[in-house]
Amino acid sequence: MISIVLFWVLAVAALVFGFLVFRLDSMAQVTFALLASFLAVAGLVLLLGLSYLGVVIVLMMVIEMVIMAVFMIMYMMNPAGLMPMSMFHNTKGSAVIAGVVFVALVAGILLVDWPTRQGEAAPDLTFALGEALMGGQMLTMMTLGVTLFATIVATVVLSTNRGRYDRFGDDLDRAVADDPAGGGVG
Amino acid sequence: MADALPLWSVVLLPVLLVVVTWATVAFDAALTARAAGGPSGVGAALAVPVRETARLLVGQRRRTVAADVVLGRVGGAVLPVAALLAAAVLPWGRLPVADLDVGVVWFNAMEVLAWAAVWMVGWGSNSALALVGGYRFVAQGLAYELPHMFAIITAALGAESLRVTDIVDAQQDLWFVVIMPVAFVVYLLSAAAMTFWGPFDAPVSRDVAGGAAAELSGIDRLVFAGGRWMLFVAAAAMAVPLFLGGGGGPWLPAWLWVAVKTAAVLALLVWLRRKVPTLRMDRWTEFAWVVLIPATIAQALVVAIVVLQRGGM
Amino acid sequence: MGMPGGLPMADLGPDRDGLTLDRLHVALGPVLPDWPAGLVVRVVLQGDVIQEARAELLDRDRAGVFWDGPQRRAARELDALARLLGVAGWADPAARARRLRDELLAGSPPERVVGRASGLVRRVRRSRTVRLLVRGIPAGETNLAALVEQRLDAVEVALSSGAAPVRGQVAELAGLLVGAELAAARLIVAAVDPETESARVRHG
Repeated sequence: MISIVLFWVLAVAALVFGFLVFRLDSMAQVTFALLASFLAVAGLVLLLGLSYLGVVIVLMMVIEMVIMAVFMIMYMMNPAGLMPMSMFHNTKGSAVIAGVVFVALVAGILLVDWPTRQGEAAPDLTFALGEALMGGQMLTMMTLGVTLFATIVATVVLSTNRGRYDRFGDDLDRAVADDPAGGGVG
Repeated sequence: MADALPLWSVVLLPVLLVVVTWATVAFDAALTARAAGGPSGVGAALAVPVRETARLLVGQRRRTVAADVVLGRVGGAVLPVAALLAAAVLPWGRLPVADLDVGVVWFNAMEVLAWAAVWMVGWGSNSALALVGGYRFVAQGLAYELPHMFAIITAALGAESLRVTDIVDAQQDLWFVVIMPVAFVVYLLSAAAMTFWGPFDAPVSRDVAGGAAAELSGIDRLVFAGGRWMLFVAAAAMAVPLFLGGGGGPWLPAWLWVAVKTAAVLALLVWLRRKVPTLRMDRWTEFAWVVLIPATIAQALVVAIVVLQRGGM
Repeated sequence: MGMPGGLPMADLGPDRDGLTLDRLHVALGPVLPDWPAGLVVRVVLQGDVIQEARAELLDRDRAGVFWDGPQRRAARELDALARLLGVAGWADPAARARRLRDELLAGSPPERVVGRASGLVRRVRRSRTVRLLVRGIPAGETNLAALVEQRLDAVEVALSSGAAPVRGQVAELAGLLVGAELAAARLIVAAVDPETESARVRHG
């Protein structure tokens, strides 16, 4: 009973906050409305019994949304994001697409003949999840991880306009880096 | 969640958290009074939090031009709520209020909420100094969340479980602080940084007139400052189950050991911030990225090898 | 779309990394914790980097000089030290400096204070954290570490000989602040601790 009530509350909250993303006119409020929507979805995942996934969604989304808020306001807004703005682009087209997708998904939910559960859920779902992701796929995961990391490093190296030769001199023999404002250990 | 504390513990948790926070604030006030040479003594120190709370309760809320009231207030309210939810997985003796199977991840997620909260508060009052404070905390949180996460995960790795009570059980023979000292030190440092506790208090420091909290007064300030103290207490208390063997110890009952160890960690952190000036983030983000993260990764590697040697996994 | 709260828009300007970014006009002071009395520094900020600065004194024609005579001059140096430590976020030594200042102002002879004061100065000098926090921050021709050292010297000189150390002037501040970040700028102002009284006498 409680879980049914929770489901509806969270589902409605996810939709309402998602809707608010397009109704509010402040970049900061929009970002945190989106975060609230994600948190409601995280609650729904928790309701499914997938505790690890649910909590990780909370963790990652909070971090992501705060960083996103900072960057959006830094790049797009003036002054300091206080100017009201609208989040609409191509109103009619996107409304049609959103409506069609929503109807299709709801139709799918109602029309598909869902199978009944076969067998028992694993006793430790977090462990089972890790096993399924990593067990047979360790090599894939490791390759993926290293590739992603290499991409991040390469992007930073290519885009920075001040590398270590600028900071430490052509022979890297400067004792203290030549920075606009010295920082920490380097 | 097979066995947990009875239901009344849910009601008792906020009370307990407030009492511990009160004691911590009083201890800090006593040290401040001693440094300033003012009236000191246990009674005077214990009265400080009560007097301050009463003063803020009757104080007026400050209004600023073009403030974002919604975000500012929500941000302030999130802090105490996050502290309370984080404290729910702390074992009081043997058991916590909620013995989640992903307890440490839950704890970390609740700590991260403070990130959003401080930024929202700093943003909310539409004041340059407050916003500077909010942004400082984002930079600090970003730099210290990763070492923090690695330190927590190292403890979980040592116990081969994300459940806090399992981590405590795994330390029956040997406290984790012995086999993972680096993770313990990094945990304490980053816990101070994540709760913007001194010496990592640049987000609310004096040079920006109170930073994120610069424009707060009355009930808003009470909720923000109180929430920040509670979060600090929760983060310090988590060091006990993660690294100091939880309620384990001779002679005394488990709950008393938890109380003693928590008090010791809190006293250490309160004392520590008086020894050093504020570590500004423009100097210390680099320290987190270049020193702490590699150190915690190396520590996790060592612990992983130890676990494999013992025939774990 | 009206302006939010009637506040003006920020304008754009080139920043130190070669981008064009918003600039925000902020007045630092006259009301800030641990800030020289009557000083206002109007700055143009990009992020928290100061692009332009203009320093002035409010209330210049007020009559009278408070920090006068060897006793009060020594107290003034301790006051400046307390403010510097306060800005650096080191509450306990700051409180100690304020206590010594109050003792001097209440009339206790400098000999009774000088021992504890030089102990305090030694402690600040020895602190590795302080050194790391002020190292490598340029301030005009000089740098923050040198300015902090000057301030510490001034405390010792004023207490031992009662002589008035040479102070920076308000007009020099702007040149020191441009290019500094906000946190560093606060430290620079606290370390320079510009003359706020004789300026009044001269102009008033």
